[in-house]
Amino acid sequence: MRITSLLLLSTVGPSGEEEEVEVHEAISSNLLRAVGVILGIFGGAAAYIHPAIAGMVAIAPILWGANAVREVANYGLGTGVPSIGYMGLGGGVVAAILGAALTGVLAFGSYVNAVIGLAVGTVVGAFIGGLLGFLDRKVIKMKIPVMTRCSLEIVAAGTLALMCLMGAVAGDFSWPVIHAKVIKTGIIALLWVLCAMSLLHPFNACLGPSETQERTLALAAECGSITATITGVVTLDPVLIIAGVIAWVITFSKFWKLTKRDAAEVTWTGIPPKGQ
Amino acid sequence: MGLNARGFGISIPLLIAATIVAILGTWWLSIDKIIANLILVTFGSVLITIGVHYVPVGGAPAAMATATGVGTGTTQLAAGSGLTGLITAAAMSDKPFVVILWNGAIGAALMIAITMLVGNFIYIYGVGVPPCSAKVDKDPITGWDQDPYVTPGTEGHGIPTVSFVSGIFGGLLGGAGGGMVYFSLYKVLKMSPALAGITAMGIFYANSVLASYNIGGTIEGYHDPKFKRVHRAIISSIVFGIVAAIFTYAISYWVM
Repeated sequence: MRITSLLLLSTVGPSGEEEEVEVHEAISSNLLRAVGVILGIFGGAAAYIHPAIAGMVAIAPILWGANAVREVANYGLGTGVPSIGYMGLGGGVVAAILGAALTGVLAFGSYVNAVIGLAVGTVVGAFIGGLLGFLDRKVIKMKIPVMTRCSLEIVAAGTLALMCLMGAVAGDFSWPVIHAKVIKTGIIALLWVLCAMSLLHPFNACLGPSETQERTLALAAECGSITATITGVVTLDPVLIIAGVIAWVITFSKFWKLTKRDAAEVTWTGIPPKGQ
Repeated sequence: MGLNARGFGISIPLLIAATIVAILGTWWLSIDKIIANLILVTFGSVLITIGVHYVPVGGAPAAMATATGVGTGTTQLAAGSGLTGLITAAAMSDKPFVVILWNGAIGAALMIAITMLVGNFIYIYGVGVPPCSAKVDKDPITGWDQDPYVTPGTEGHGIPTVSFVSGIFGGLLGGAGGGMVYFSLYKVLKMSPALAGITAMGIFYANSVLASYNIGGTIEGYHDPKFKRVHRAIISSIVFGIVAAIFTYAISYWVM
């Protein structure tokens, strides 16, 4: 199923005026947003059933965030793609801790607390992202029309992915456990970098004239799988490690296929020699 | 020339102001938490943002020795020096505020100085280019000619004296800002050291990326014409600092 919709994007020319370009989209951004938010919030809250659920659903917000990074970085940020990923998680970590801290004062029962915490964290992340994007657009005067929306999406997605992984490491999305198992141990710094890399790496690696959304998202899913696997290694959770590795094999082979499809030509260079 | 006056005139008063804020020390714990946190986080954000403008970031062109500065992006340099500053500040977390602040500042300045020095070794002995800048005719500090040493078609290469001094000021300002945010979260809001550290890191990154978008990816130091845009970043960091102060207060309120 390949729905190709046209998205109007604009790029900034050297002289500073905004030009519009058409960019192909194989998977609609709205679908990614909806799946990212719903799976992220309800799956992340299910960490108490099994941490592997929260670890694996983190891939959904990562896909959403990577797609938003793709949209905004198409314009050329001037600082390289990594900056926006780090900004996403810089604001995101404050929002994620806020969402987690909120679960400590709620008393609705474990699952509802977690859902509220995740939802509030995502909304706060969206607010911080919107604010950062607004400042970039209006005060710093970046010439990227979609900056505010994409920054909002990137920080919200980064927050949600980080919260899912926090739930996966803690085994329950509630403040006392998260503080003891994720923050005090310093694992949050690892999760932070994993999330930032998963958001920024796909487009950073795939960008160029032959970039396609499918390939970038396949790489994003692969990064998400690696993230889930490492989270499993950190918590020594065999289910999450196995699920992560299986997802990695599937997404990596998909990415490999798409890379070959998008390549101008695949030839054998002579190194290494073909053994007879 | 006026360039030195601009560079030193902004950084030294800011460092003095930060030191005065730090000398007040435990006084910040005696006033209302919300106000103390608001002032310290906002001022820390401003210091971080201005600090980034002083760091000679060359980006991808500098990695090929075709532009002046360290050959990597702002975010990476800010991370390298700023996080070192946060760690050195956090190592002193039980000492007075002024020790936390200056330890952060010196840690970050040392890290960026080592980065620039090793970068210069590579540029001079590896690539074989003399450190020089195409943005100014004479180095504002040493007064040495720059133009004869700039390879045609490039914007300079390596890290000349003015960029090196500027980078050290950037490290001092950024590290002091990080230390100030850390102190506010740890002592004023009474968060645990790990929680305060990771939250300060988030605030540090958001501010440094705002600053890096303001300079459009590359800057040579305070002598660069792009440095004139610093006021826009200051406004942004004040707004972001206020919002961050409110959210960090909410975290500490719910954690208590």
